[in-house]
Amino acid sequence: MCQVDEEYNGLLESRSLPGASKKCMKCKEGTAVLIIRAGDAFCRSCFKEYFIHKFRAMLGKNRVIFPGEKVLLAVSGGLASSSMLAQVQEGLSRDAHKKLRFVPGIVYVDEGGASGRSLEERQQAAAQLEHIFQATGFPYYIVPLEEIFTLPSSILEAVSAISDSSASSYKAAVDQFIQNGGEAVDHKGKAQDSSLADAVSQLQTHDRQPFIPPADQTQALARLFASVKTLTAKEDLLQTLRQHLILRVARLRGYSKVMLGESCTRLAIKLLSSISLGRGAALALDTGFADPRFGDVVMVRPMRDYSSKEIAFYNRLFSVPSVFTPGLDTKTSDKASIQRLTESFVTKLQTDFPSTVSTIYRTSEKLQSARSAQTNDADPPSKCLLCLCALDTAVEEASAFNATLQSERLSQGKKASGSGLPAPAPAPAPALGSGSGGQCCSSSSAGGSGEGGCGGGGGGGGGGGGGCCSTPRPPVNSDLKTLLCYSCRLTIKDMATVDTLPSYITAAAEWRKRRVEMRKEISEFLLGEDEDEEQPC
Amino acid sequence: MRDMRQLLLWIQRNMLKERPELFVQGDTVRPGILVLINDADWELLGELEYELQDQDNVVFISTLHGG
Repeated sequence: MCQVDEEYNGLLESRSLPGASKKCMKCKEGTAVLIIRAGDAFCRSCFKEYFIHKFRAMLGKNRVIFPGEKVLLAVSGGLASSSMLAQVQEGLSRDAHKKLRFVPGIVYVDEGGASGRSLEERQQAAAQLEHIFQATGFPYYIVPLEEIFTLPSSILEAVSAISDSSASSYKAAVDQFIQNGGEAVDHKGKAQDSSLADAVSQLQTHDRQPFIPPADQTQALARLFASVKTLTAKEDLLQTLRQHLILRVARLRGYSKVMLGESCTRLAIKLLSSISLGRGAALALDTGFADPRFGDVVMVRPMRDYSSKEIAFYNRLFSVPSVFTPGLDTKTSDKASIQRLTESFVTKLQTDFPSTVSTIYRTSEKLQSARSAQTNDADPPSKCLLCLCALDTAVEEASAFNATLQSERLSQGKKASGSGLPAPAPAPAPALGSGSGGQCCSSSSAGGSGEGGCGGGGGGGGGGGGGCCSTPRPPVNSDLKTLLCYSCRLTIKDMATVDTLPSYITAAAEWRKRRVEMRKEISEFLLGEDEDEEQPC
Repeated sequence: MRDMRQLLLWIQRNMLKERPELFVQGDTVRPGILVLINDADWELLGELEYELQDQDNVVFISTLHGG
């Protein structure tokens, strides 16, 4: 034990040795201005070269972004995404053979409404960002988060992609691009354009003029976030809604890729907090370079090789403009939310052990979702309604997930009946009619409404069939929950009411439920596809 | 004021109006906040032991969510 301590102490001391006259480790000439990893000191010009190269290398290595493709940059105004914008600008200003060949656009989602900021503050931030965006000359879209109330429910359907991201098709696309003399090759999305034209014109109003979100929508947004009881759930919900909105803009404007500015520090934090939030099954998508969960629009994270320190230094040394906008977690304590606590854990560990972040990050690189091969894209119910990841709730009976449900059910049964008697486990729910929206059929004897709101084995999402509760059903306070993955269920559970959710979510839930019912109704007339497909592997 | 340690103390006493723990922790800055002295990493300059000179430009950058 003592030995271990000594070793670490030695490490710490050596790290804090003053090295005022340190030289750059690369050119051995320039005076070092920053230390990147433990001991790697860079001078200003070598750092710039290294930083720029890294961005291009990331894109070159992954070969996800095709020449001429429209790429939407999601810029929040924060350090990382502003830096990403600067890198894209840099890449496009290069001479021909080194030039980045995609067509960028910018989207900014103004989330001030979720954290209760005044309209003046929000407009001020938006104006500052607009100034930065104008300087780039790229098309940009400034979208208030309030727009979620006008989203169509179709946003929650994953469109099956026809993307063949093999190396050969990338090569072919590059060749074609060069043959066309640098003209953009529009390989998909042409057909969509006409049908989306009217929808585009709707959104157009938010383009080049100071936006003013309708007051009733701002209030609805405030109500939505007020109904969420914990900061953890608030942050999770905000992330989900933001993602939907970015996706919407990308689809409307015909962008097939979205670049997110998440740094490696941020992703390391996200990896650990996602595990804590029960998103283990979706880790590969949440933190990988490319996230194809939406099908037609792929999210990519080109900044995932940079630490937040590198980004902050680059922005400072080369005057990359960024705009600070207070968010939900501004001025909150370390323990305010799981995300916040994880952030503080990782950054604290990082100060004493400089390889913390990179170690976590390397782990995230190796993750692959085991189910991705099995997931059938044509079957929407297999995906979580909110995060569109493969549902992780269809597990065998003897699992941690079902054990959690079971104990939750038991403890709630106790609460409802007031005595120590455990509630009847999976009691057949009374056959319900159509199971309208909000509350589910909590069996009348239990009478436990409010949070959780499920007595015995209530919550038959199926409806019509009745008596389908032979297997333990997840306790749901609405039909919504059955459509969600484990983690999104937790978030929704932290909401006082689901009535405040934007209508596209409830509409999509309804639609999916009906689809399931319909499938059940016609199931006996369907040819047994499943049986045919089931082959011994 | 002679070194960074004293500068941090001074800032804590004179400039921070609320929640000092969001800026300093122990006798140094909160992890996740970068310190630049004349646009150079303070880790190269001895961190808390750095002797401040006249006209030194000290910048704090938060890399944490929410600033």
